[in-house]
Amino acid sequence: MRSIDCLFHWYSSGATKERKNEVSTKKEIPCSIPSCLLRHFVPSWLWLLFTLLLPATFAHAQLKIVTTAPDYADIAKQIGGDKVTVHSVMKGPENVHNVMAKPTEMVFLNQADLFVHSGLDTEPWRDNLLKGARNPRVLPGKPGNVDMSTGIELKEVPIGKIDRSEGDVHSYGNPHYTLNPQIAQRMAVTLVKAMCDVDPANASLYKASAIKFVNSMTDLSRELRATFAPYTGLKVVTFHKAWEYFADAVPIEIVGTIEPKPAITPSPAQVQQTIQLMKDQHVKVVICETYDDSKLAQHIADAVGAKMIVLPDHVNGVPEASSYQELFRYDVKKLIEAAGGK
Amino acid sequence: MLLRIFLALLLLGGSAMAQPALPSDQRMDQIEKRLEDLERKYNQDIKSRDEEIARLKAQVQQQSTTTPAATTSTDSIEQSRQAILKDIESREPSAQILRVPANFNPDLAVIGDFKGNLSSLNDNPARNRFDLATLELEMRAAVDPRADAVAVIPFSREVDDPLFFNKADASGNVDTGVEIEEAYLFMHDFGVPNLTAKLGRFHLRFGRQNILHNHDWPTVDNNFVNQSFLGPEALTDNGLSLSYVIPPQYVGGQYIEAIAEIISGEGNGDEGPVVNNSAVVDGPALNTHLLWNHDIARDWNLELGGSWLTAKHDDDNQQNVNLFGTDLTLIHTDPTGGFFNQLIQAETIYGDVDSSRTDSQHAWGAYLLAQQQINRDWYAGVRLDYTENALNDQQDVWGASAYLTWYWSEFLRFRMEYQHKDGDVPAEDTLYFQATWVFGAHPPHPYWSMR
Repeated sequence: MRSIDCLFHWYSSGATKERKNEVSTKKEIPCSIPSCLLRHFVPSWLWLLFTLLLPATFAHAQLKIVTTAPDYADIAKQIGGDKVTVHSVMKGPENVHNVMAKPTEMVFLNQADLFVHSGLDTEPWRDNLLKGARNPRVLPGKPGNVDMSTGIELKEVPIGKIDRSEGDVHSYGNPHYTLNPQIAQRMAVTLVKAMCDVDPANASLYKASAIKFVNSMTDLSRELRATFAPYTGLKVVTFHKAWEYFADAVPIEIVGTIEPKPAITPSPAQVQQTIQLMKDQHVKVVICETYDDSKLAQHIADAVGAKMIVLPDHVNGVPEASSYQELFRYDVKKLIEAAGGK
Repeated sequence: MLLRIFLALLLLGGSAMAQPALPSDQRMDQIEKRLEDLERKYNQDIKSRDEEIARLKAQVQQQSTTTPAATTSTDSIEQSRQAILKDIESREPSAQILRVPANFNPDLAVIGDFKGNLSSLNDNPARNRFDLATLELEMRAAVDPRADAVAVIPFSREVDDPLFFNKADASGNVDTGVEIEEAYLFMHDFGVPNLTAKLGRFHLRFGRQNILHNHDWPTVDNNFVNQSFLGPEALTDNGLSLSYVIPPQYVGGQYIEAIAEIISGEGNGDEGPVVNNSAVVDGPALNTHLLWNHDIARDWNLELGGSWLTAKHDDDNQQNVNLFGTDLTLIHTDPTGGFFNQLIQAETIYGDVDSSRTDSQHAWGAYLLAQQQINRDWYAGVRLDYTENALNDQQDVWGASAYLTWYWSEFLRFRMEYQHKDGDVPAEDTLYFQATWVFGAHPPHPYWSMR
């Protein structure tokens, strides 16, 4: 360390005279062989350039954030602006439970400062990605590992013994909590704390942007309620249990799901039960996620004269859902259209 | 003030009704007097109340400065009492409080793999029967902040089914047993950037399918070339496996992984076709694997790999084995986010195997697999096999297989496979059936398995 210090001290001084004086001083200080070799053989202008460029490099270094879902990527972008680079493993229309964690994704995660994920058992592919990435900074328990479920009260937390007779049930509760702007406020708090921890130099900027984001979520919540007010209590059937948190933000009534249990394809008899349920409850809208079987959803909707709509449950699920805010506006617009509004 | 007016009016009314006979001046005097009395009494009451309020305020202030916790706890106790009393009155069941158990048990999965077949080859005792091929116990847990432990212990019940079937060698014995298929420490963070290590017994990183457990194969049976060169199921051994990912910034953002494995060289013992040694063999064996994974387009991923294994053969330190392998995996993922995914995978192996101290066999083999995921639950595929016998390069076998896989759920799968097999072995047509189930923790899948 001493030898490095002496090199920097010496080569960062500009005047030749001073340099000569420094050299004579340095001769009295014992230093390592490599540093002495460097001194003699590396041109001084190169060191000067290095000295000038090094701080500049750090000054422009962006915080590298890799997220599992594009929703977190968008929130990170809104908070971090040009101080961050963001990459999402999931592109948008996929099922968050079934993403292919290719080794090429490990390239991004290998160099990441933050890995932002859903926590819980939402992304079964996450552990393979983490272990393959060889990046100790983002392993569980490290500051670079950001669990967005922190502080969020989950719905449908199973009580007592659970097994696969409940399908691909989530042992911690329903993990689709991203679909609510008020919950996004909590996610923003979790994320901004992690960003400030690993990049304290930009902490004040991140905090200011996070406050702005939180306020925008309040505005969005009010906007959604106001826009959807004439359709409050709209009865829907969804394909997967992905819309329970959404229903808190946009007052729809979820009467049932096409899947009899999470991730279980219904039998013909179960399809008939859903059709009967929709008839009994006068359900006029079927929501199918971008990745689920829209043909089956359409068949069920047709059987009762309902409308089937394909809705994204993540940012970039469709091109129009290009941000967290736009995702909700798109979904609400489609719901209103399905309910007969404009 | 309003109170005083109200009282005056009340008294006026009352007096008027009660004493109608008195002269008016006298009555007014009496009323005035009574009003004065009332006002005095009212002022006294107000004064005494003000004094009482001031006294209580002082008392509260004194308590809040000296014993704030007592006040808070009294409030919370009162709140708790009110909540309990309210709950007694309520007909609702008491609120559930979630208890999250904390323990140090590993993730535990039990995998059952049931197989059966109908075949035209009656001479082979492994045909026209069904059996629980394996019941596999998988355990995984972190044992240290920097290391995980994995144990895979299959209980198997099978009839020997060699790739190059010879009626004279067929015993028909049903082999039952338990083995340590894998048991290793996985050190993922031991201070050297981008380097991980396995220490223990593991599947060798030779090609793509050798690292799979039987139930993870995309087909019912193992591909022919791996059976001929590596083993009926997989080549496993004991030793140290090091895996290094070259820092992407030095290789243009590419994913390049280099694996070097120093192993005992015993392989699977008698089961191994070429690496089949006992403990008497000297020196370790070496296996290396290099792979490059690249997104050739947004929805297309390509992986190319090369492997080299050098070891001894037949417990003879003078007989050498050198296996060279290449592998390719090409994946197209559904751009709509659905499940209409495609997979193409191919592997080749070339062997330079000393079959005696004076003779070497130079055999090769390959397979090509193409799989289409139809929707979330259904997969269809074909596999074409050709391989020479690693121990006799004059003998070969080829096969064509078509399969259909149906996932009832993530944890229960059924598969049918038709296979025609021919070459320097008895020709046969076989229909395989397989049911695979998992209970316990969610086991990890290889990324290209499309689950």
